[in-house]
Amino acid sequence: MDGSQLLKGVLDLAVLAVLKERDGYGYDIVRRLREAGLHEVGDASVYGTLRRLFKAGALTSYVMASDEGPHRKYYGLNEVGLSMYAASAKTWSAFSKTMASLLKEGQE
Amino acid sequence: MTPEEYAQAVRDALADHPEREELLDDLDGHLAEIAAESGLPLEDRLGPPAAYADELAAAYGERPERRRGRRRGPREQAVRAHAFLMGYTPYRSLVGFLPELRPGWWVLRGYVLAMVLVSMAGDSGLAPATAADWAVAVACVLASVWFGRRRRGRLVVLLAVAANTVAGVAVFATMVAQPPSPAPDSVYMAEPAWVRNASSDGVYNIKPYAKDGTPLTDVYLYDQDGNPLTTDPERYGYTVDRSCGEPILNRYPLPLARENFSRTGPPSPSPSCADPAPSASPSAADREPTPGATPSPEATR
Repeated sequence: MDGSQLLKGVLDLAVLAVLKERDGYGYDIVRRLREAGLHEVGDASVYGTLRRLFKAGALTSYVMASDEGPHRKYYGLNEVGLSMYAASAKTWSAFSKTMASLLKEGQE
Repeated sequence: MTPEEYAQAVRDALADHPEREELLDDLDGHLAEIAAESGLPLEDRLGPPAAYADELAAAYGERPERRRGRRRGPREQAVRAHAFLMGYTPYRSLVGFLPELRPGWWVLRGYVLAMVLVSMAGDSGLAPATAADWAVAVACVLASVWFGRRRRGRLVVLLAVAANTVAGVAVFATMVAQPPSPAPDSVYMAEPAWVRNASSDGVYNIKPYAKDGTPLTDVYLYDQDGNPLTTDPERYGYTVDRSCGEPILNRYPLPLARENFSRTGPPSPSPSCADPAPSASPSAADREPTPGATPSPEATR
């Protein structure tokens, strides 16, 4: 199965998880997702997801001056985002546990 | 493509997105960040802007339902196609090269419009014929170039579009209206314009005669180019007699048989199957015995 197809379903949670760790700007979040092992994550997908989560009221945003170039727009989790993260993480944990046991049964 | 150009192409591709501004809020900064990090061009890193725009819109959420039913206008489709093609280097080079062709087009446009005017005045042709034609041509070319070099107001643009349309149509019409080169006509004897017979029936067979009235057989007929002259007997209810094998269709008279018609025999003498081609020397069977040549028993007695 193509990893990018799986990623589509959990990209929200991945982005929320990265932001829970610490605030970040668009490209920084892409980089951190890739460093975490999600190499197939698309730049536009992350950017679109960020904008959607922001629109949904899950993120705060603020602009910070940068030494290297233009001002950066940072995103962070607010209360809504934190509870969204908690709920999604719980769902994912249960789901992945189910999948793991299913695959284990299949191997026996 | 610079980050600004790339961002603009993405913006163009999402021209019909109802929440475009919200979606693309800090796209420029984001793209500048990516461009600053590596020396690679953005389109190599991120793919064509149109694909980037699609991925963005997909991640942002399903596009509102009303967009699906709505047909895109031709202008919108052109903008999207342009944004998509700008992701490819050959198209970008072409777009960059086109402005250099503009002065040439100005000259051609002026010349074509002059020829259109001259044609309307009575003369027709692709080149000026008289001194007056030349004057019109030079004036139109100069006017066209002057017009092309002007800064563009709304009226000027409209006039330019009109002039370009007329000139383009004229160029196309001239190319289409070139007289076609004569195609070689096939020789078709069934209804030949140059073969007349006394009756109104068509010609389906030919019966050659020698000067002294002797009917000739196995005469091969060809046209001036060496192509066989053939008739179309089937059109007149006759079939070529194939009982002796496939006949040669330009060897006259043709061995014809009329289907469902037994009043007369074949209208022409059929060549014998044993002798399909005229032989150089008569066979022994055809030779008349010459009485004087062979001595008779009485004479020797």
